[in-house]
Amino acid sequence: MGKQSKTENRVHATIDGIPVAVAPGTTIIEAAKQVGIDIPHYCYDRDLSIVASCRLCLVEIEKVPKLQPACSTPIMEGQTVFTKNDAVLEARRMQMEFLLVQHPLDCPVCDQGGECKLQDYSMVHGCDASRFRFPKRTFPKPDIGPFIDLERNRCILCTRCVRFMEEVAGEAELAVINRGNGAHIATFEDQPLKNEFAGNTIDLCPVGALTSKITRFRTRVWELKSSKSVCTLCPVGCNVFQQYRNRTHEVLRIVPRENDAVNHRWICDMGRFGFDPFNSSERERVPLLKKDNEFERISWSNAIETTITTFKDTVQSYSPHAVAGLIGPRHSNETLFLFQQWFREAVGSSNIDHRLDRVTSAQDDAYCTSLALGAVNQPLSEIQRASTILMIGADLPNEAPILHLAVRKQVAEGTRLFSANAYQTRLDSVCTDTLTYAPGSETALLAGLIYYVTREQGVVVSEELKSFINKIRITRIAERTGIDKKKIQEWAQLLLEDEHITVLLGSSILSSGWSSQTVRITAELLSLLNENEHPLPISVLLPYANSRGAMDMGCLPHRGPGFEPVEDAGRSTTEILQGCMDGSIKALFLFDADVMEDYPDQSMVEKALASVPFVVCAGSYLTKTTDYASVFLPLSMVSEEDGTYTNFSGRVQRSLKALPQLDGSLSGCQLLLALGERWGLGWKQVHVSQITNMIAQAVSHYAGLTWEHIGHEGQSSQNVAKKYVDAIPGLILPEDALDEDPSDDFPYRWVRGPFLFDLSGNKPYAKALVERSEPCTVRIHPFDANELGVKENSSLTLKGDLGDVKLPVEITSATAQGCVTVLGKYKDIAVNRIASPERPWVKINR
Amino acid sequence: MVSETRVLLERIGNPEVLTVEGYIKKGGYKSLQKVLTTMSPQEVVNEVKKSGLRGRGGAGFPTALKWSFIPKNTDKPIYLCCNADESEPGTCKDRVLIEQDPHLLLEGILLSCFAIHSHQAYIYIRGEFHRGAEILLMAIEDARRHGWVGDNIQGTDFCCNIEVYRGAGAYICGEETGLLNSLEGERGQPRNKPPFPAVAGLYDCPTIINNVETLAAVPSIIEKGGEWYSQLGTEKSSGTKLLCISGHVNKPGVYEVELGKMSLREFINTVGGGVPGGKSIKAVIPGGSSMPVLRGDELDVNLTFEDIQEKGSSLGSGAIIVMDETTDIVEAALIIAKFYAHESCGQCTPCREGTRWFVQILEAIHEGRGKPGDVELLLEICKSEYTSICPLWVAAVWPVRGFVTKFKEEFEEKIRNAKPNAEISVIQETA
Repeated sequence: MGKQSKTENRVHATIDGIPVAVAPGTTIIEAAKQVGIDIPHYCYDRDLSIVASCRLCLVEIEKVPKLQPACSTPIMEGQTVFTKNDAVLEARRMQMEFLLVQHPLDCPVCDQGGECKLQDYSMVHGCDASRFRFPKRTFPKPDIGPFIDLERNRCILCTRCVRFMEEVAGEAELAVINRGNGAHIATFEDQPLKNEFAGNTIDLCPVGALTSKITRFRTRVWELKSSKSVCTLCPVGCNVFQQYRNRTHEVLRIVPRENDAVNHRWICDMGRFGFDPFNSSERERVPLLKKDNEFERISWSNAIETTITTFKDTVQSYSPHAVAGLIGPRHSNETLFLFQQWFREAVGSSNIDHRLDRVTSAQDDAYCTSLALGAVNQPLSEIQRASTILMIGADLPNEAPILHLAVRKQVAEGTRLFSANAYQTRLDSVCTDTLTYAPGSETALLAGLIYYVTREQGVVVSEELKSFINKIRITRIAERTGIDKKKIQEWAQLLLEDEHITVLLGSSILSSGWSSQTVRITAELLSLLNENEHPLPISVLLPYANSRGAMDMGCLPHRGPGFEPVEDAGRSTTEILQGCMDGSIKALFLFDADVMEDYPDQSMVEKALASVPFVVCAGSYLTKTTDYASVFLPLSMVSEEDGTYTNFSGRVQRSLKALPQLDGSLSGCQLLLALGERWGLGWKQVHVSQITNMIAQAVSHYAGLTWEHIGHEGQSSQNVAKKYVDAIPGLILPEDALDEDPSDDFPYRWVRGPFLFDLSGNKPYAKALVERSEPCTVRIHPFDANELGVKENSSLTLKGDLGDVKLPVEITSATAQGCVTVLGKYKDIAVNRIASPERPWVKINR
Repeated sequence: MVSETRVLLERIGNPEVLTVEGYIKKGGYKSLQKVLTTMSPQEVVNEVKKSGLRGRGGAGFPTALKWSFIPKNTDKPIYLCCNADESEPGTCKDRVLIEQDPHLLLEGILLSCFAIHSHQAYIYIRGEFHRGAEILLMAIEDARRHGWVGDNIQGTDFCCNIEVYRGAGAYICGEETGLLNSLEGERGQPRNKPPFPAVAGLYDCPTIINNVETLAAVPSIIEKGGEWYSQLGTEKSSGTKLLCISGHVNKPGVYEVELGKMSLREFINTVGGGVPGGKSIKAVIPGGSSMPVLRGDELDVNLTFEDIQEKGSSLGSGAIIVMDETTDIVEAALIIAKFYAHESCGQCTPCREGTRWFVQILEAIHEGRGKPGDVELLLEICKSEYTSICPLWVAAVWPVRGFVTKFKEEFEEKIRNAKPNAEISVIQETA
């Protein structure tokens, strides 16, 4: 019966004599694809609205007088369609001739050559000579920014780029202007493209009208090989192809690799155009040893010998706890796993951490809490199922760009989106409603929501919750958050309208000292709102590409691989830095950990690094941090390393290397295996896949995730679930979360946030990213600017407890009143040297 | 004796009828009053059906049939758009109605809205018709004051608003879906069909788009009955038709005739006053510049939609352009081709590329740079006529094909006489 109704629900027709049975509403072009018939097309794209304007896909339908576009015409029951008869071929040939009438035919100098649909279709459907003998139309060439080259003379006006920007990216920065033969693609007044997904138009453009300025004239596409890789610039881990040329040892292009569980077929411009640091001649290739304050080149054996000897001496002379290590969580799971394994096995210390960007105590970690609550492993498809999304402290466009696209699409399809943050984000314009809370008060806001939700519901089952609510004084919460209590009540009512709510917590919530409670309270709120939702639909956005992997691998002072609690817990990042200062830590291993840039208090880092006698730095570039290195060990980059990475939702993905290692550098795994071998652990060099398979054994929720099984598309790790109840804090509203401690001397709240177009990490080595970057500014609210008498285009000096920095001012109501916001990290501007996280207050001097 | 039959133009030339009072004094709003008090919407549709009224915009589609395509029991609002974007070269009939008898149009709109259950009508008027737009706005305001437009018209349950929307100078916005896009504030370019506007038109709601002349015919159909109207003209070309005659004639202008009562030649020679200087007629375009031309020896055709269609052309919008023996046919074709190249929206390939290619070839032939094979190439390009989204490409193809096939010898002569070293006029069109 079921089967029968299924067949009834199909439309039966014939295409070129081949019978098809498709779902009602299927277009002819898609139906044909299902039986292996490729109907040529330019304007049609399955992810964009249908315009049927290129007229290349015209087909004949029996009994229909005119040819019909296959892309826009649904196939009907009993139809007979011809895609290759004389009438169709003649029309197609004519359209091809039309399209080439004005085309410059400059294939020899066009980067699209080799993957151009004009070339391909001309070969198959066109003719070999043109009957056009007149002067061709030309257009002026605008500069639309550092990433994309627009060559209008090659454009065939398929408008895929225009539709992508409007329909997918959500910012209609491209348009067709003028009409008829003068119609052409333009940005408003030739301004540069700003949207961070604009690069996708290069892939969508079927001809050479939109090409990459970064790759321009550097290669021909047939020279390139592709590796199935993963982008390591944000915690989403978009699937990409790294396209490279062995002859010159260069990655020359990064394009998206389709994966519906992660990035569909899009990537952001950072991931796409940020590959030049792989190729830069400024990369370090030789180990360095500090002698008389100068680095000198040494051999690898010498470098490893020095490192091992000093660490061993420190362990013997003091104790294993006098050694500590920090690792940058952009590395692969294998490197992260070996790092903690080496520390725990060789050194015998758990003084390891990956949380470089925040003040941490060993125990407090929202992420462990959320995992323990059975939350977090929320694949994109789960988020997409929600009919309401609540974002707290999340700035998707800047911290997880591709997620921003997914959420935007969902909103367009009817999902409600609520966003509460300390400042306005670009996604606010599509939100159902937004709130701006006083910085650091997200926990108070969540408690306020619980307060009103339970009041509306009328019943409170759990005793713990009852006592929690009894302690809430709503006026105090309104005061702390700066939000009217009626507004909080309104949100509670709006949330109660739905039972399929998912929460996205921004990485900013991890920065408070009570982030575990934030997650706990969020979980409580969700269980009040949602019916029978297990696991809890909470996603925490993480600050780095593999922060999740670093935790799963046990790069934490209190937890080993798979979150197993360790008996002899070590020190957190903050505690390690303190240890360096007080002399209890004698040797520090900074494995690609740029603490000078990442840690929120640079003066503390500076003091710590200056005090600790021995610092080993591993990395690909010299940084402010490596200035303090006693030994520097050059590492290869993601373009040269195989490995697996775990994204924020627990999806484990494999990234294959594009190029062989640069002479002189070691991969993270090779270095750690060499250190283990030299320490006498009996380790030997193996392929990364063997370490992956070890992880599948050692990390309980990675069971079965072998190198083979992960495959090219990746696999979800299992839920950690309620196994580690010790990580769940009791339900309390921390007093700290309700208190603010401003002083008259420092009247403005100091707020930092992520920024996609900043100059952090390796971005300064990518010329195009430098050009695209936006300068570091201090954002203040127009009212505050007015009060201070500050005008646009002027500069301000911010002074906090750590020091002062002068920055250009940006007056914007996106920043809350009473706050000064600085987004992003900049190589030459120490924004982490103004106010300490404990005293986030500044004064403004004009 | 061949003469005019004035039904639509009955009140023309009388400034009094610009006001509601004057219009009523001359028998206006009688039909609407009758409908509001004694008829059902279906009865109005039936009368129009009986009348055999066909769309006067150029395509000649039966009006009542178009109305019947609106989905039954739709819960969306239904819109009526009056197409007053009269832009087809040679056509100037709607302008006369709008400027000289605006209330006739309003009454026609209101009657049609009543028939199709619409409560909102838009008059999309050509941007250059400044005066027409002003007159319509004043007339609507006047009608509103007198209770003929707005809520509870004449104390009945029928509510209907009329708004005037001015175009911005694009021929393509006279194409019905281009009109809808423009009205919505989008780029004025046509939509793919299906869906047809009657199902999903303005703001995705059922929408009927009728020409000014079509709507202006409704009041007399209601007043005197569909039966009466269908008796005028011929069976397939019932009623009267406004004809705009221009070019080499003594009495250019807009005239109203009963179709089927005279031949095209008779019309030109009597109503149109004949050709100045008694010259002979070389060519006539019978229905606006997009229709294929007729040779001077093909004019003894009965003036009906169907007879002219038989000659391979069409009465179209009723714009008759007469060209005498002195006319340079290649230049005439070039001028028309230039118009369509200028007005192509640029959305779809054949029209965007083909219209300009036409101009380039015709220009070359005209300037003495033609090459053997150019005539054949023009006809080859014409073969793609039905591959575009909207009829603009067809409108560009037909005149070219018409001129080239009917006057092939003139094109070939120019090509034969081409000067091999003729200077190429380089077109530097940077948009």
